[in-house]
Amino acid sequence: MNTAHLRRKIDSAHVGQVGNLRRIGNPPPVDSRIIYGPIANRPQVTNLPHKMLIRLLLSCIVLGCTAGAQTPDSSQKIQALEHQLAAQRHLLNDWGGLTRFGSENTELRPPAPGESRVVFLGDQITGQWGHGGAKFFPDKPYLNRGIAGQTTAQMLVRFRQDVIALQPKVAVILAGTNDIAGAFGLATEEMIADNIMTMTELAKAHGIRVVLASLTPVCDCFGKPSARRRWQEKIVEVNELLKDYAARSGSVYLDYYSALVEGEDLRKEFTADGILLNDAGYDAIAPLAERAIAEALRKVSL
Amino acid sequence: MRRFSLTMAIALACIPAWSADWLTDGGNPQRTAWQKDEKILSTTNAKDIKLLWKIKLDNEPRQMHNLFPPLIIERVNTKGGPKQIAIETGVSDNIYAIDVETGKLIWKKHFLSTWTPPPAGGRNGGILCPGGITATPVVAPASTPGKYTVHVASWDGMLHQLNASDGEDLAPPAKFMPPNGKPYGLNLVNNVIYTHTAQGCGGNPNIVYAYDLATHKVGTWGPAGGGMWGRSGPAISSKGVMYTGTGDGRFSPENGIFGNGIIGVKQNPETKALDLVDYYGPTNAEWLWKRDLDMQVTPVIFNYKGKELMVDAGKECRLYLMDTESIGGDDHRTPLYRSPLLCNEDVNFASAGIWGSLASWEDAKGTRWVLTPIWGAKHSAFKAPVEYGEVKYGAVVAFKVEEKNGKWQLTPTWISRDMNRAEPPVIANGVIFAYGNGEDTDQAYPDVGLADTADRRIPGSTRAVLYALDAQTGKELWSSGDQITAWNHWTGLSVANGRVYIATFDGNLYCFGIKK
Repeated sequence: MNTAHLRRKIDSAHVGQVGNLRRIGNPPPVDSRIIYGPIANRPQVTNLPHKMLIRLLLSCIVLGCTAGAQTPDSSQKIQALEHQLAAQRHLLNDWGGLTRFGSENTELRPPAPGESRVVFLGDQITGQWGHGGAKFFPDKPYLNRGIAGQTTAQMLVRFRQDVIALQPKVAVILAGTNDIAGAFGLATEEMIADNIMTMTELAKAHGIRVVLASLTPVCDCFGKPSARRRWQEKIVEVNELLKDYAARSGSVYLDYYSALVEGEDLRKEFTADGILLNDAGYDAIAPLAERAIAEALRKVSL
Repeated sequence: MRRFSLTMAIALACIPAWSADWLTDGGNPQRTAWQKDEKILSTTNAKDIKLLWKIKLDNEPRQMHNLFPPLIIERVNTKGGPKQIAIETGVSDNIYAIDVETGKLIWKKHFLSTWTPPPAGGRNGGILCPGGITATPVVAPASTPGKYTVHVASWDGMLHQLNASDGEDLAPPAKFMPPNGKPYGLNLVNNVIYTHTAQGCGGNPNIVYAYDLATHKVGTWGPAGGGMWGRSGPAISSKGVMYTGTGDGRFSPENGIFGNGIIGVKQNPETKALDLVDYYGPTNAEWLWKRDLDMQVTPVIFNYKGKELMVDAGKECRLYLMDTESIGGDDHRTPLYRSPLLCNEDVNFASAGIWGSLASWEDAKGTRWVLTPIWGAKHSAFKAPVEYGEVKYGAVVAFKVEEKNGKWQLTPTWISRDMNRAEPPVIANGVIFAYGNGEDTDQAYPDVGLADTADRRIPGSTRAVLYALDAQTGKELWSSGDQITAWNHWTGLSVANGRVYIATFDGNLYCFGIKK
């Protein structure tokens, strides 16, 4: 069975996809950038669990064929495939990523009187904030709820557990880059905006003010393919939708994009791979986030 | 007189020098699963372990249950003379006595129920409520040497006291609990028999029962949330406090609800009622409740450095080290130590985590060890200095109990080889006996969703494999390979006098040991 067509190497298009696989406990696959299924050729986003089930079954077939014809060096390949299968199974069982912060959340006490708790919801750009040299708002009651590789639809699934249940005064949402990357099928700008609008409405229903962060720019400044040219147009369009919706919904629009961009590209000094921010990048956006939170909190007190 | 002394000396010399019993699930009321009196099996000869015999018993399985861990009495006076016997319990209200020298049946007792069971068994029947006997009995020596009483809770909720030598009733059956409940391993301390129930089987509440053998009074106490289903039943401290984990339910002590925690209850000496004397709730109890991660493991209690310590665990796959003086500290939420996650990275409530019971022993150097089985893959962030390959389906994990700078901890020491659903180990003379039960533990399937039924799981189950490990290093010394031809569910090991016993779903009791 020729399984080559089942695989497609991609660059680090999925923000945190590799990190996500590692996080859920499987040693890095032989080539941890391999995922199943063609990304660019998908005609449309279809039933996701069904697609994942197909991936799972295909993985089983690949495993079975490989196991049936073992060669002396095949055990490593089988092991790598087993790890990939386990990762896919985990994704199928916990697509929303509820197990990442679920236990931790229940150990938090409710905010103290007068405490201005803030939750940062997002993907790996949020998640790795504070993991390098750049601190994540030390001495502030801010919670980081970023999960590598997540799309807006996944964040919507965990919005109650990771935001509403924590009773913050403000939620800072930075989401959509993985949707644009097609992490789980193609997503249009409007689909991204729909999910973010739904999260905003849920927050408002619980008295939580929302800061809508712009998507951050990307670049091909490390010699990667030029696939991100297409991303750049979409990022700008999503940001326009978010800015407009923020004004209509009484939310605060947080413009990270302008602070990080040069022309259409993410400035090279703010990134190590063209997508994720480095310490300098976080240092550049931290004051902007603080100002947006302060503005949102002022709205609370009005 | 001289001739008499000589005769006595010869007679005494003929009495086998093994003198080890296994009279209760887990070996003792503290549930340490440590066979301290083992003298025959050792790390040196474990490689020579052979199948000594197996016996097929006629017990009818119910759901996935069949036989429970046998209880071993080293010397019972029978009609045929003194014998070492195994008391084997079958879920269908059967008790068997087997001569362990020959593997032959000595007697069988079937309880004639005073209650008519419904066709479906317990709570709609099903795996969780199989009906029948669900608690391993407990054996107590009588005042006369060679005489023993077997205490059994039958399906109809009656407590039976049988003569171990012939299976005859020593006293009329007495009411212990309502029929069709689901009690777990009986524990006997100071003439009181303790157990607890779970799953609401038969429509009965999940509560602790204590039967006072002197007064025949029954005391009860309930956590008002979640059943108590530590497989080996409760563990009992030196102060007579009975501890157990509680299953799926809210932890809200201010409202008298103690789900997903650990409770300690004690018999009131005057009224014989049971009173709650201590409790503990993990700080993430709400998460445990939401995710069905019960604290469903029988605790283990032991003395170390002047303290009486206890360790317990649950499906989340953490260990909790506690001081029995105050298991959760002043706020009831602070144990001495809480381990990181050992397994269950996928937060799976069916096929991962810690199940059954734990074990503990102390080596010749005074090092105190705690052992736990785990189901499923090892957590990617959990490491031990010595490991034996990838753990996919389960393993035994060994910890040393240590106090460093006034703080207690469980220090990971080794992780065993992979075992298919590793079950609670037993320690005997430096050897750890453990097994993978081979059971299909899945409860949900991609094509049908939740379908926790025996007719799906039984065909998916394979075979149990028994292992002997070096207790210091975890190195495999021996395995039963394919000698055990079936799997098992909800049973355990017993070890005494050079023999290791394991029962399987097909009604066989296997005896492994060193051939003379």
